[in-house]
Amino acid sequence: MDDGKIPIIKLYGNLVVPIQVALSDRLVARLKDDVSNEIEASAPWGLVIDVSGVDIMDSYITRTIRDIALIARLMGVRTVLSGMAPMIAMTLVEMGMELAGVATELNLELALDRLRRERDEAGHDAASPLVEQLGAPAESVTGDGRPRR
Amino acid sequence: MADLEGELRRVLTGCVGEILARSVLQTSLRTTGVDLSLLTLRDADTLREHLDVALKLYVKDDPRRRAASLELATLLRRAVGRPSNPVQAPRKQSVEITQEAHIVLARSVGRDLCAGAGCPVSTQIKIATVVSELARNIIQYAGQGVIDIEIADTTPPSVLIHAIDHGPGIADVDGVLGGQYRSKTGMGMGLLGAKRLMDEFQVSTSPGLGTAITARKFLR
Repeated sequence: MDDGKIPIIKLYGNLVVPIQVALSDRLVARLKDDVSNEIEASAPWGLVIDVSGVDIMDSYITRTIRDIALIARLMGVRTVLSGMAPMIAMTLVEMGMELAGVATELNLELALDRLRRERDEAGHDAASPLVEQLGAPAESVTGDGRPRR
Repeated sequence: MADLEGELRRVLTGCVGEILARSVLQTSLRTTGVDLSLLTLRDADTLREHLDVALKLYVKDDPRRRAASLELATLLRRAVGRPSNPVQAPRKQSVEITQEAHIVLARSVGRDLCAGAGCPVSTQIKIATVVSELARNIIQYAGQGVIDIEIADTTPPSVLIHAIDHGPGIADVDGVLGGQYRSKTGMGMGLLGAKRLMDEFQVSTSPGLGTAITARKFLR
């Protein structure tokens, strides 16, 4: 029985996961699989999980989202969690839940800005001296000569 | 809440007698089309004007007429915006937890019940979160159970959550609730988190009988 899945959107070299529905355990477990597979398929720079449409975050959902962020990190992708509503944040704190190791931003726009900033900063560091000698713009090529997405 | 129509009739009866009072009120209501159970400010004024006209016609004694007019106006003004027969929101609901989809259902039931009782959104979310934790534990460890949610007439009023299952019971409840298993076991965090959100939290559990959790949160 397929009760739908959460969309994963490719945006500016990142993956954006907008969660706009009530999260059942099945949806959340499926999301974990889908995100891992999509990371392998499209090699994004970053991942944004936007929870602005989530009404309740209990310990399981919170833990699974954190797991997704950690899985992404193991695969070399930075994750930012965005859009957490004030009431939900307060409830999580009161419960004693932490999201250690997961970067957060207030909303989707700030999350994408942050990823772009981090990517720009990494870009300057990664440009090789050879590329600069050849006169190619530093941002268009990665350190080992492969074109950047 | 006193019956508005009855009260209006009472005041009119005091001036013009029962039969005329009834007739005046019926005519005014019919002519103005005002719904007494859903009175707006304009409705109240319109009806009052109508009744004043009738009073002027039938009541010769000025002070008496003015007193009645004032009392009618007060009754009508006070009733503005307040439905006289509010639909009673349910105070107790029971949710069978036999499949994973019931976790989301139980959450909504809990939240709606609280909303119906006028709880602030922060409390609604906490209750829904606690219900979610308890429902998930039932599914994960017992396979099935029941969750009752009730608005209790305590002082102050409280939300009572009762979760029962006949599963394997919780080993080392005191350890779990004391925070020993934090971030290791899923059940530990959920149960401990739920306890932190509530004002009262009691767990009765044994391997042979199952688990019964009673949790209460006072509403201000």
